[in-house]
Amino acid sequence: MFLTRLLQLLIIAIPIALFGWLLNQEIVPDGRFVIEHRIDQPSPFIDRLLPDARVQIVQPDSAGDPVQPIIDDPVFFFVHPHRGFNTLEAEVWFKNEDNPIVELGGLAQINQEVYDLQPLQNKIIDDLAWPRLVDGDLILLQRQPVYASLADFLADPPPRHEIAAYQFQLDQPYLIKNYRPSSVPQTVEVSLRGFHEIKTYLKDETLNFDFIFMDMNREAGADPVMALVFNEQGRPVAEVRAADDGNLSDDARPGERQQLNLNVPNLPEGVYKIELRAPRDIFFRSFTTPQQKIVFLNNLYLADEVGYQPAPRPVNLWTEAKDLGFQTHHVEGLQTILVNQQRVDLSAPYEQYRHLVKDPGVVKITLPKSDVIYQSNGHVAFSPDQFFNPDPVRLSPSTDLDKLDINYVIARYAPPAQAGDWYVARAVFDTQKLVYVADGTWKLAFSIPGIRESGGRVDIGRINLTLTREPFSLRDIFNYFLK
Amino acid sequence: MHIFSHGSAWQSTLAKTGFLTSLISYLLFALAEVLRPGFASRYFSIHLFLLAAIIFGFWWAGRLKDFNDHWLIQHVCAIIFGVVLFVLTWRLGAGFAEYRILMSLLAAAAPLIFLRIIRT
Repeated sequence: MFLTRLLQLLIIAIPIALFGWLLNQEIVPDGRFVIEHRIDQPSPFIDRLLPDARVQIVQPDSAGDPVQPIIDDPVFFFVHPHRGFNTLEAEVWFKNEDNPIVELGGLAQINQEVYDLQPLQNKIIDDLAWPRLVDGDLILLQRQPVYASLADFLADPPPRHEIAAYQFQLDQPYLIKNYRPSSVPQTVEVSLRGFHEIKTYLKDETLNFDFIFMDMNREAGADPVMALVFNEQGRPVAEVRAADDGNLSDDARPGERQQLNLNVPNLPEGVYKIELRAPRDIFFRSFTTPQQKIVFLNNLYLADEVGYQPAPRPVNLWTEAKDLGFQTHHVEGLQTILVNQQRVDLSAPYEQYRHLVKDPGVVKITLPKSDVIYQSNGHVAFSPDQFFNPDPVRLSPSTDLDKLDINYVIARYAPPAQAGDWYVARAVFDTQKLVYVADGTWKLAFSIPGIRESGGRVDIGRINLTLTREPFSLRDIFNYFLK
Repeated sequence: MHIFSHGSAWQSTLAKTGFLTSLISYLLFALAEVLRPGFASRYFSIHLFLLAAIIFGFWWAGRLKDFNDHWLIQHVCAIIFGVVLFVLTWRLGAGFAEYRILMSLLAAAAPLIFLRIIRT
């Protein structure tokens, strides 16, 4: 009888204990949830690496450890947290022999796919045999030991052109000596599609941009437009919005030309960033501004001009970037691009064409027609007079420190730890900066610049995530069931 | 000897406990899944409890010595279950197109047909 009662108790206790454990997993009472994922095992929270063309199948490496090699860039995966969290700490176990930079990014903007990239490994910094100063996650490398401490460097930095920065922004404001404002507006006639970022310079003048745009209605849904202005410290100082043209369909009927006027007086002297937040249906056709220094950051989507111009117009660009990428999505966009005198033949649609610039300084890019997605890691202007570079040189695999006369490398970076054959690196993301690509799903991506060109590989072994939030309280019970 | 053959009373007690516990657990976990998708299915299949209920149910049925035929309760349950199936099939059965009403009526009749079969 006792044994029967004991077995009955056991039968009842098993689902109760299971339910209690599941409830504990679900509500995360201590505010910390750990997901451990070996790459050769499925996880309910972490999807496999994609796309298949950029990874190899999971396989044992020479040491017998199960790994999934990444052979192209970028490679992404989706994370499905079961509830909201404030921070996401990724711990990645990987093996890397030759690739100079390995980064992990969280998708921060869906338009144009902007990622919040965090370093996992930077072999350029790790291997650079310059004297180094380390303070927490800040590293300063000096060609000659000039500064005794990082505090000295930050208090009195050298000229910006001597600095290469990685994951670091200087606090000192960027100023252009002998700059004189102008009241004469200049118009740039170019078709740009969707999200773009601009940097401009102000001194005793009103920030004024008139953007002319059209809603091309090629994709269903509303297409609002917003221009956000940030100061050099990254704080928002102004914004302006325009609503959809009223056509929510994908009938490809272009809307009327609309105007978005950004007018912000009384801003102090300095560099300002304008984020043009617009979906892919929005084609900016021109912008007019009295500002004299205007550069776009990193990428340009030079739109096709179907339904706007009888024939696509040529585009000239000026950039200091050394690692360029070109792509067109249409047969009509195939062309030969000149980078200074070097030819880049776009001979197939959807093919990414990479070009490494050998010439020092700013180079001119000549595109016979638009309809090209331009990607770089630098600034790009539509006239040489508008070009300016308010940022230190960005440390990338193509950065030649000697050619550029760089004397200092500053980085916010902690080298990965080593566990046997593995590198173990951590990247922390503020989830407020990440966007959901679907219901409660984050998209994370490995960025390994130059991996395809070098024929290299990075072997991923484990991806462990630690998610944190406020500890559970009684108030959450109410919210929990209403969510 | 058959696994569900007659034995001592403890078997009947355990089988009944197992059946009811598995069935109630299955329904509760299914409800939790509806409220919070993935609550349990991220870690295991809740249908394991249904499997356990079936096994315990057969075991318990094999141990029954007395049987009361609750004709009314059985038919009321079958009708209620039929209404639920009708609603579910109608709501989820848009893909049946012109056969939607037919399939919904068949689903509604299924519990009564099943009851008739096992009673014969």
